[in-house]
Formats: sequence, structure tokens, C-alpha cells
Amino acid sequence: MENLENHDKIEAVDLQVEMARSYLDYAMSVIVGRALPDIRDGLKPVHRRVLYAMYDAGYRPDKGYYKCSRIVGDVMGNYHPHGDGAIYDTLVRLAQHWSLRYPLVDGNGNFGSPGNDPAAAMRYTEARMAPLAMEMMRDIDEETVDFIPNYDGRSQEPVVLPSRFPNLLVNGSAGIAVGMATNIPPHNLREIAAAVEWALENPEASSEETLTALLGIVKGPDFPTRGIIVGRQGIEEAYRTGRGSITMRAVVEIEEINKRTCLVITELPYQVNPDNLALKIAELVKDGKIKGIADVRDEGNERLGQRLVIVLRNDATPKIVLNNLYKHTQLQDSFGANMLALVDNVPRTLRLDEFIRHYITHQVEVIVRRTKYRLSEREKRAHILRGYLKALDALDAVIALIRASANSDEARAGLMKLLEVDEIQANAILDMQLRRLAALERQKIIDEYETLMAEIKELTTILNDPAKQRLIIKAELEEIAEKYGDDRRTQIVAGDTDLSVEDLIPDQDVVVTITRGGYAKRTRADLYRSQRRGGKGVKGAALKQDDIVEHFFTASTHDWLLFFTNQGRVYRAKVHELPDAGRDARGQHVANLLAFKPNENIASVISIADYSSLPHLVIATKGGIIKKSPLVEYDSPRTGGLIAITLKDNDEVVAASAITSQDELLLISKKGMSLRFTADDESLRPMGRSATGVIGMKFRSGDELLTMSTIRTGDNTKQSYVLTATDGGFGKRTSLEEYRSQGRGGIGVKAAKVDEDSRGGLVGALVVNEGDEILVITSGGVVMRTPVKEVRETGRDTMGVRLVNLDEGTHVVSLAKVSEED
Amino acid sequence: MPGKLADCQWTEPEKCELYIVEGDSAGGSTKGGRDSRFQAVLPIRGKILNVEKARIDRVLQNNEVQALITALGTGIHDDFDIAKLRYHKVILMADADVDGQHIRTLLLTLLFRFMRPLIEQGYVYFAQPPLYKIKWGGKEPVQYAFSDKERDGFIQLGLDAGKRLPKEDGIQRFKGLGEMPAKELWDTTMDPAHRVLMRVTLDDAAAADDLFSVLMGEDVEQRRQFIQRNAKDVRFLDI
Repeated sequence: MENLENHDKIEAVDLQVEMARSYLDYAMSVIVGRALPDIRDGLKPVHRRVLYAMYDAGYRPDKGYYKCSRIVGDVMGNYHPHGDGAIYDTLVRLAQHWSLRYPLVDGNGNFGSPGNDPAAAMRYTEARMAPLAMEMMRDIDEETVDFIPNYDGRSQEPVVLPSRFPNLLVNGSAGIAVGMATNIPPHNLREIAAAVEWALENPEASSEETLTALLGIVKGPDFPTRGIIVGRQGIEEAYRTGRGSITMRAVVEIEEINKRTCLVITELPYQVNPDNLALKIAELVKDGKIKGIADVRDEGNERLGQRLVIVLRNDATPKIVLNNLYKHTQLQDSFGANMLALVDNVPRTLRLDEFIRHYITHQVEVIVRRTKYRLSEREKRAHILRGYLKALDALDAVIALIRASANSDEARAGLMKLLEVDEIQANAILDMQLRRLAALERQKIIDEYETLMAEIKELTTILNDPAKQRLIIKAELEEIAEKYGDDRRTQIVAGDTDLSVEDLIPDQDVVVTITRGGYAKRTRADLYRSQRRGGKGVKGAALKQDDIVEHFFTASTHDWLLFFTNQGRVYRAKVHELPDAGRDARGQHVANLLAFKPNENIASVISIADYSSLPHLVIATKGGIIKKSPLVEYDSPRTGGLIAITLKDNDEVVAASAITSQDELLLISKKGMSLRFTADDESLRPMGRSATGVIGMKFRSGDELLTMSTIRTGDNTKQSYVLTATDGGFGKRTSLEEYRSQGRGGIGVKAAKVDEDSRGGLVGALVVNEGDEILVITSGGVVMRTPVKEVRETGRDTMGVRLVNLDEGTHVVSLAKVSEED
Repeated sequence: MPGKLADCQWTEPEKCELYIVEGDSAGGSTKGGRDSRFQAVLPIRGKILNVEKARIDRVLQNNEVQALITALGTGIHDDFDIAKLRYHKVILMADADVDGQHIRTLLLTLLFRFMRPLIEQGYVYFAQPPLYKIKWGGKEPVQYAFSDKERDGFIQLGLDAGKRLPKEDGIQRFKGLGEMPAKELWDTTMDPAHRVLMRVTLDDAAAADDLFSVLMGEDVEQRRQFIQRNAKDVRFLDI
């Protein structure tokens, strides 16, 4: 058997060297030759090849359509030896009016949809160049751009197109290379043409001046799919630095269809797929992430345009649903502008003015080269005409010479000698038709010669005068913009794109429940109402053992909750930040929401619509201290909480309330003393937020403040009662009128007769109305609900009757009010 | 064995070779041209997964990766056993274009990360298909060039020797292996009597490790800097 090993020639290559080399070749080829557009014509090689192949093969706007498979074959065979699929995709995209702001290919047949429908196979579809694409090619036959051999050396292809309009900015570009990517938005042709014209007129302007002027002319991207751009900041950043995030939004109208309110989406942000969007919305609705949507219907099509109908539920707020759609779907999307293009085959991130300047440089080159070409063509012709004129001047001698010559070589040599012309002219004279010898023809030749000389003079001036060159560029661009320009499609609106949470959450009434153990939740108020009608005593919250509901009130989801702690600090949260939970859920511990310090717990919670809804905040402590401060002083976003009152040793906050100066306060002590006084500035001077406060009520020894109630001005005090309860389960109510207003700082009057041995000490005192209900909460976790009416009305100095039958070893721990209007 | 593998007849690993080729177009030529006694062929479709970026479970679910691991027989990572290697020449034969080079880097990443001893012990090779075919006029035999320089040298020598190069289609640039008929592929690239193989060697495993993470890893910025630093060393651009 042959020994194969001996034949092999083996060389060694180091892994690192090979990896680095191969990768670099690949990366640079993708960067320079595949994924990024040239700054001059805005095309990637595959685009350029598709367009040039179509131009070269004559698939032009003035001809009929040609099968796309034929075009793809031409592109692949002549210029682009890569996959046919990629070439066809490129061709299709150039024809899609939703992909290109100004399509360069005119397609006939099914070229797909903005959604998930692909174009028909290339054997079905037909295409030709769009008229505008001819402007990309204009003057290409006049040596305006360089040509290089194609991949197999059989023909030539342009390295760049003349691009007589600024295609890169107008149609944009997107591409992912290796280690870098580009994303340039499309623009309005008129605006970009105007920007180019400004720069042509102001060649001496500094880049900063140019940029400033251009920012005024170019309003922003203009997407083929219309839509809205929100805010100018991203646009300006993109133009000033080459990078910026531009927020786009759909155009949404609110229509009433079959008595249902509907959001109708008629324009989408650029590159948003309507099919996927509809699926996404349906998914969010299914998962409960967006509420208030009953149905989603795609009613759009190619003929009628985009139309996605979102049918709302009857109880939904259109604005809130819309804001949620903006937040969670591509109804609002951002265009991450990354203005990277190849300048002399080097990828560079550029400012708007640089884009325009590079484009102008290219146009100047095109015009100069075109002028040189035309000049040389005319000079060639003039040269020949000069020969003709010499021949006509010596016509008889020329004819005699030709007749006497043995062959054409001899005749040429003779002519060159006789007329002092060169070979080219001599050949032209020999090729001249006999009819040119007629008398009138001579004048024609003279005329043509004179015209040529005038043109040569003009062309020479152009070559020597950059200002003239710029004028030509300007005039020719104006002509294109005039013919193909159209109105802006994308509106640009000022605006805050950051939706605050409040924009996403409906303003609705909820019941806030906070337990003594610190569990908080919000529950839709209507859930409680319907429950209340259904029957009393149904279990409220699924509480941990020994935990009881301590705070129970209605508020709006947009309200602030102020949590006053026993240590005199205040923390805040929005009501909507509480977990939205059902009646029987426990909720979430406030420690998840608020950064309490060790051993801090909630002493009092109030809700306010905002910090200006009431002028003052009063705080009362166990030791009878009371302090009134402007409410606005508590408006601070500090998550660590604020000092609400400076406490003396061993003192604790008992209650807090937002009030006006006309309101009255009712303080009740554990041993049943009460003091009612007006909170006006005279009796209760306002102080700074962290002040200590003044004496609100004096106590006999062993007594301390139990509660503070607020009596609002305008409350009907005739129907108001002070309801007290003891830990032994006894209670009573006494008309508020029996508590007269006194001065601050006294020991007050008896509110209840307290006999701690037989009836227990006071655990709660509330100001209630006759229609209210109260909750009596026991240490056993039982919540008893009683209408105020059923509690016996007595005088102040009485002990009351049994409110609740207590199990052995349990006692009442607190009282809560359920207001009539809740 | 994986369905795509066209195995060889002999079973002694030290005599056997596995050609890993790009796509079915090249696979056909390779199968047609090989010596099926000792040359096996495994076509890999398209761009194989970048294992540097993909999660291990995705890597192992990938059909192409599975086919390659099964064909080699050694297992991967800790289970790797060089004694089970089924071919002592693992030859990567990519198209002579930049996508071929990209596929070569992807395959090397897979081998380096999963079966490093294959590289360390010198079992991995590159085939060297010619880049150019020079078709002299008349009855002169064709010549194959493996680089631009070699091509220019051949042309100069040939012209000096009085050979004629047809204007039309005198030089063919091979874009893919599929462009060659099977016999031509055998003659130029696979026949041990004529071919030149490049054996991959590993001089500095730690440095190679770093390079793989830069080139194939997640950090785009590092990669961009590498490209910018080395842009001037590019050998050829394929547009």
C-alpha cells in the first residue's frame, strides 16, 4: 500500500495568527464591502449593483416591466456573485413604499406588506427603475465616476453613483457590520435639498454655523410610514453628534364604532410591523398587562392603508389605555440614530453638516469631471471641424490629391502634408460624405464650430470657477427637488415622552387597608360596596394571626399617603404604589415600599390629594404635645423619610391630620378626658416641620393621649357624636355638642367614665355621624361591624353599654370608622 | 453516524481524513472528488453557531454542531478522549472568500472551546484550494495560483516564455469550491500527492484564549477596537 503520509506537503500556521487574519479579512470586508453605505451615494455595494445592473440592461422607467428573476440573474451574473435570495430581498426593499421614503425601484406585482406577508417569488414579480433612480445614474456616461473591473474581469462596474440627489439622507440606511452598525433615518427630499443649497451658498461658513443653519432647515427625519416624532432633543443630538434616540409614535384617533369607543391606529412608527403589533397587544391583554381592551381588529390593507382598531371596554379610560399601549408596545418606539457611513472606505460617525459637506464634495467632483469630459468631447469635435474647414478652403486641391492617390494611406499622408492637418483630421476628411461639399454645408460647419467654441469657453470658465460649479449643482438639485419633492409626512410635536406612572394608571377610588402588623393594600372601592350590600361580617383581609386592620379609608389612586411613625418621621407613597389586591388578600408589607428605620412602626396614616389641598398638618403625641406646620413643608421625595416632629424622650406620635385653621381638634386621653379647641393660628401657632410643638393637653398622672379627631368646619355637629370604646368591650356615643370648645393646654372635661377594673380602659374614640358604621377589632382577630345608630347615646360622663361580646382572655384593641359615603 | 457524513471505507484513524466543507454546493464536489477509501466528507450548512456567544444547551442542540461532534467521535470538554478520534487529519476546507474565512473562524472557535486537544496535538489542518486558475491560450496546461502574488508571478513568467493569455476569461477567480468540478478539486486540493495542507499549531494557549474572547465574544467595543488597530493588516477585501 502506498504511504500517503510521504506525499503530503505540510506547512504550519499558528492558530492565533490564522484567527486574527481570517477574522480581520471578514470583518473589514463586511464593514467596507457589505453592510455600510458610502457617504456619497448612500448605497451599499449590493444596492449599487442592483441599480446599475438595471440601468445597464435597460430596465428603465420608459420601458416595460421585466421579470425580477431576470434582474436578479443580471445582478448576480454580472456584478454580485452572492446568493440570489439576498439580491431579491434588496430589490424588493428598494420597491417598498413603506421601506424607502422615495423608492428607487418601480415594482409590479406583490411586493409584500409592512406586516408579515413576504413578496411573491421572483418568477412572479416584475420591476424596472423608478424615475428617481435615473437621477442616481444621471451623467454616469460622462466619466463622472470611477469604474473598476467586475469580479470576473469581463465588465466594469461603478465604485459610486453620481447620485444627483442626496440619497443617503433622503432614503436613510441601516446595516449591521462587525463591531459597528449604522442606522440613518430617511428625510424629506425638499428639506435635505434646501440644506444642501444653503451649504452651497455658504461655502465659507464654519461647521458650527452650518450645523446651526441646517438644524433650522432640516426639521427631522421624515418616515415613509408617516407617524409622529415626539420631541426635538433626540433629533438634535443625532444631527449634532451622530447619535440620538428619536421617539416615534403612532397616530391614533378615537372613534365611536357601534357605540363602543375605539382607538384607531392609522399611522405607525417607522419599521413597526402591524401584524406583530396586533399580536403583541392581544398578548398583553391576555396576560392582563393592559386593561380596558375588549378586542383588537386589523382592518388595514394595501389599498386603504394602515388601520388597526382597538375596541375599548365600557369602563376604560381611552387616554389611560393609550398611554399603556405607548409604554408597552411599539405604538411608541424609538429610532436609534447612528449616523455612520463610509468616507473613503473608512467608517465614520458624522454630524449633519458633515454629511452635507461630503455630499457636496462628491457633487463638485461629478460636475468637474462631467465638465472636463464635455470639454474634451467638444475639443475633439472642434479639432475635426478645423480640419474640414481647411479642406473646404482648398477643396479643389484636396479632390485632386485624393483622385491622384493610389490608396487611402497615400491620400491620408498627402492630405496631412497639403493641409497641415494631423492624422485624425485627415481621416475625418477622407470619411467626409460628398454632400458636405455643397455650398450651404460649409456654413453649417462654420456655425457648428462657432457654437462649439462658445461652449468650450463656457465649460472652461466652469472648470476654473468653483462658484459656478456650485451654482450648477444647486440648479440641478432644485430641479430634481421640484420634480420629485413632496410634503413632509411625519409630524414633529414637542413633548414629554416620559409617561409618568400617573399617566398609566386610572384615577379611581380605592379602599386603603393597613394592618397593625404593617400589611398594606388597595382594593377597588366598588368591590367593597357590592360586598357590603351582600352581607355584613364577611371576612376582610386574610391576616396573619394576631394582626388586625388598623387603617381603613378611601382614597384616590393618585393621592399621596403620608405614613407617620411612632418615632416622629413621615414617609410617603402614592396610593397606586400599594399592591392592588382583592378584599380577602393580605397585601404587602409596607417595608417593601418604605424605608422604615429599626423599631419604627406606623402611628398614623393620612391621604392627601396633593400638598396644597390643605394648609396645615397637625401632629399629636402620647405626651399631649401638639404641633401645627404648613403641609407643603412635608413635600419631599426623600425615601429615607422626613422628620415630622421632634419628640421628647419616650414620647410617641399618636395621630396626624391635615387641617385648615378653622377646623377644630378633639383630643381624648386614655383615662377619658377630652379637650376640644380651634386650630386657628392664635391658639395654635404654626411652626417649622421639625419643631417640637406646644402643649396640647395636660394630663393627670398616669394618663396619656389616646386619639386626636378633627372636626371640620361645616360638619353638622348636631348629627356628630363622639364614640368611645373600652378594652373590655363597652362603648357609648355622646353628641359632639356636649363637648364645648376650650383653650389649648388645659386638662379638659370628662369624655367617658373610665373604670379600668370593671369596664376596662379606653382604646378608641372617634368622631362619627349617625349614618356611619364602626369596626370593633378584638385581640382575637374578630372584626365586629356595628352601625353607629345601634350604639347607645348617653351623656359624656357615663360608662356605656356592652358593644361586643368578648371571648375569654381577649379584649378590644381598636376602633375604626366606615363612613357613610365610603 | 450523522446523516450528512460521507464516511470513508478504512477504519484506522491514523490513515483517515475528515474534510469539513462549507455547504452542500461544496459538499458535492468534495464527495465526488475524494478518495473514498480514506477521505470522509462532512458538509456544514451555512454559518455554524458562534459557540463563544451561545449558551451551552443551545450549542449542543444545534444540528451542525452535533453532526461534527458525532463524526469526530472524541466527545467534548471533560469527556474528551483523543483515543476515540476517528480521523487523524481533521481538514477544514472553506471557500476562498471572506465568508469562508468567517466560517473557518467559527469552526476554530468550536474546536478550541470544546475539543482543544485536537488543536494542541496537531490534528487540525486547513486545505488550500487555489484562488486563481490561469487558462493559457493554445495547448499550454492551466496553472493554479494560491495567492495574488503567485498569480502575477505565473502570468509574468508565462508571458515572458511566449505564452498567450486569452483576453476573455483568461483568469478564473474561484469564489467557491462548488465552482470546481470534482476532478479539479481532487487534483488541486485533495490529492495527497499534490496538495499543500496547513497544520494548525498552538504556541500560546492563554493568548489564543484571549483572542477568541475578543473576536468571538460579547464585547462589541473590544472587537471594534481590535478591528481599528489592525485594519491596515487586512490581506484582501472582498466586495
